[in-house]
Parts: sequence; structure tokens; C-alpha cells
Amino acid sequence: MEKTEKKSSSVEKYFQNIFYGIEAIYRGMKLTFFYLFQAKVTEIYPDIKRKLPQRFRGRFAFLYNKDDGKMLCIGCNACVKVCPPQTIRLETEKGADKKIKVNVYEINIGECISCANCVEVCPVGALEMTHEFETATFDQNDLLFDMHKLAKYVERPNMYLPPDKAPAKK
Amino acid sequence: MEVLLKIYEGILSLIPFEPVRNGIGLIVPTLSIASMVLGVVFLLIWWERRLIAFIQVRLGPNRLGPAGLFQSFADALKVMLKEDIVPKDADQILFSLAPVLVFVPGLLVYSLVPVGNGMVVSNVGSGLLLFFSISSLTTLGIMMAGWSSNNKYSLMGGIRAVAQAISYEIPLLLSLVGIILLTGSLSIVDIVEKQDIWNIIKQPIAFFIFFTCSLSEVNRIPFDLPEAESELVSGYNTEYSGFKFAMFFLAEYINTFTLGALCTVLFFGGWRFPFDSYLGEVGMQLSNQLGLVWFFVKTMFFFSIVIWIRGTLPRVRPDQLMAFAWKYLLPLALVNILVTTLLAAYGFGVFSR
Repeated sequence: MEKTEKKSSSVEKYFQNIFYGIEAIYRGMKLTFFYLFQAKVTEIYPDIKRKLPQRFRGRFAFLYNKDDGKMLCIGCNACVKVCPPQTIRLETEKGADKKIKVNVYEINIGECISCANCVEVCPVGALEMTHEFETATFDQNDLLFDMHKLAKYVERPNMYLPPDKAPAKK
Repeated sequence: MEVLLKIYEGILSLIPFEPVRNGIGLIVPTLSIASMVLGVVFLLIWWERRLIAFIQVRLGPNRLGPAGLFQSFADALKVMLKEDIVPKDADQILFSLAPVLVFVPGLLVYSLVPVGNGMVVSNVGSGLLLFFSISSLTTLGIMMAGWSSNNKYSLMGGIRAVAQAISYEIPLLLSLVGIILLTGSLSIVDIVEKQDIWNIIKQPIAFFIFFTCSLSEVNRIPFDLPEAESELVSGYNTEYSGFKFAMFFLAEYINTFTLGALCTVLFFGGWRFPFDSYLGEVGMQLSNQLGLVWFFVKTMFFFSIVIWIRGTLPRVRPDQLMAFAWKYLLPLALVNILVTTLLAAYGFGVFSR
């Protein structure tokens, strides 16, 4: 069987190399030139902040009612039990009117993994994820958030029911 | 610019004592051009980092000062505050001498480059030869640094630098023979003054060869084998730190700026405005008054092209590097000389002297 492919001579190869070299450089330079004018991917973070997604999980908030300033928490301990790093500390006592009174609600932001299990499990919707994520400090003690530091005031007409479970108004 | 020169000459003529006048006439231009180059280097570092970032779809330094302009000053300060380490088994004298030997020739060659009409420190008759003799010393400094560091990576870098310099110096100088032939002079000032038509139109192939070889001479990507980070840590300057490293770093940028300056002076009319001799009085005035501006703009253009190439091409292999110089650039330069000689001998078109 004859060889159909013609073997190029060394002289041909020499000029072919020059041609290929020029072509390759031309292509590459063209590409990088267009990249020069492309929109840059860098975010100038502290100056221009990216818009966070709606369900972004940052530090969570402990909700209070805006109208009378009462806390929504009923002290059921559900969030304490479900918390994977076990960082929520909840201390309750029985008040004079035989209702559970929450004395301490404390969380260490350094241990919290922002899983939002506590928010999900809360029967009254007394917890909420915020968009705040810049919680780094120089002092370890600043990581300890108590109920006052976690506080967030919201409007909640029906105190003991989360907004989606509240009965429709007549 | 011409006004400034006239004021300077006026002040100089007021000094009565001849030797003092000559002394000051030497010191002032030297100091002004040295400080200009060193000042420009800080701009160049910022410009390179910024441009390479834009090619890579990043932003680059943008925090310090307007658009990050002061970043290079901060870096310089940082590098000067660092400890100056000399390896225990290094050759102490050579180790300290090497950065100086790399830095000084880079600065010295600017005494031969005309940055404006009459703005040159010394107009040497055989300036082009002197220029390349001085700039070749840089290679010696790099080899010295590689040898004295007592480090295998450094030594490899030094060896590569020498091999590269020997191969690329030949086509580099041969490519300039055509220009010398057409100008009839080795003086750089003469070469600029005779470029009524820019040399790039007469000698495009020579420019291509010259630019490629210059890239290799100043160890820029794709010919940065002596300091190949991915192969040799940092090449010849692996063991250097502090101010000695800063000198290597500055020398690299000064040399790259020299590349741009040489391209400008030899092929693109130096301080002259494009086609100034055809624009009549206006063109001549533009050239004479704003020569420094045109020179700087053109040089920055070539410096930017070097960065553009850095953002595009990968590093070549050592054997490819050698093959490219000896098999392609050298024959091309020789053919270029032959053709130029024939055209000049018969006075063909723009080639007539």
C-alpha cells in the first residue's frame, strides 16, 4: 500500500513553523485584547456590597413585638434541643401567674453555624435569620450575644402564631 | 520644553568660571534624567499591575490613592523595611556587588537617549554601540548574582541568562545595521533627527526582530527563563531580599522602559511628532516644544505592548528559545540587511539617502 500522505520537507516545515507561530500569536493577542475591556469580576467589597439573596442566613435575631415590647419566645426549648453545636442557652422559670418566663436567652456567634434549624423548629416564629454577617471582633467576649443584643422588633398582631400560620382575618 | 532649556542655558551662562560651568552642565542633566527615570519606574510598576489585572479580568491595585497609584510607594517602603539577608556560604563581595551591577547600567544608558529636542546628557558619536555595550553589562550582574548566591536555582537562572543573552544579542545588533545604513550615523541623536519618515516604514522586519530580541534581553515573558517562577523559584534573585531585591526589581522595570525608549527612538521618531516635517512650521513646533510628551507617550505605548504580551504568551522552553534565535531571527536579520543594502545602494523610493 502506498503512502497517500506526502511528507513535508524540512524547508516546508521551516516556513510552516513561521506561519503557525504568527497565527498563534495573533489569535492569542486578539483574545487578550478583548478581555482588556470586559467587565471585571472583582468586587470592591467594603465599598460596594453585593445584594444578598432573600433567604441568606446570617446572624439570627430574637424577636420582640413592636406594639407592647413583649418577647415572642414561649420558652419551649425546641431550639435548644435541635441546635447542632448546642450553643443556645435558654433559662426559664415559672412566674407567679403560672406562665413560663424566659430569663436568659444566650448564643455564642463563634459557635453558631447558621444552619437555621432553630428558626425552622420554632412553633411561634420567634426567631429570624438576618442579613448581618460581619460579626468578627477583636474580643472573644463580644461573640456572646444575649437576648438584648439579638433583639429585633417586629409587628406581629397575633402574638403566639407565626405570620404564615396565623388565621386569616375576617 | 524649549523655554525651559533656554532658561537653563541662560542661568548656566551667568556662571563666570568655566570648569564650574561645565561641571554643573554635566551634573544637572544627569540628575534630572536619573530622577525622571526613577520616578517613572513607580508609575510603571503601578501601570503594569493594573494593565495585567485588566487583561485577567481583575481590577489590580485600587486601594491606595486614586486608582491605587500609591501602591508602588507602599511596596517600596515595605521592601526597604525588610531584613537584608546574606546567605552564610554566599560570596559576600559578589553578592553585594551584583544588584549594583544590574541597576547602574540600566540607569546609565539614559544618558545616551534623547528625550526631547536637545535634551540629551551626552551626544556620543557612536552612541548606539556604547548603548549596547553598557546594557550588556546587566547580564554580567545577573550571572554574578546567580553564581554568588550558592544556590542551585540561582545558578541555573544565571546560566540561562548568559545563554539567552549570547544568542539574542546577535540578531538584536544585526537588526539595527539596516537603520545605521540608512541613517549613515551611529549617533542616536542623528538617528532621531533624520527620521522625517519613521524608520518603522522602512524597516518593519528589523523592528520585529529588534522587539523580540529586546524582550529576551530584558527577561520579560515569554523569555523570562532566568527568573522563571514555576521552574526556578525566582531564578537568579532567589536569595535576595530587602533593598538588594528592590534594586533587581527596579532594574527590571528600568530595562523594560529602556526597551520602549529604544523602540521609540530608533523606529518611531523619538521625540518627534508624527510626520512633523510634512506639517510645516506647526509640526516642527509641536516636536520641539512638546518633545518630552511625545517621547513619553510612545514609550508607554511600547511598555503597554510588553505587558499585553505578558498577559498572552506562555514561557518558551529553553531549546525553543535557542532555536528561535539561531534558526529564525538570525537568518531573517541577515536577509533584512541584504535587502536594505540593495535598496539603499540603488536609492529606491524612501530608501534614498
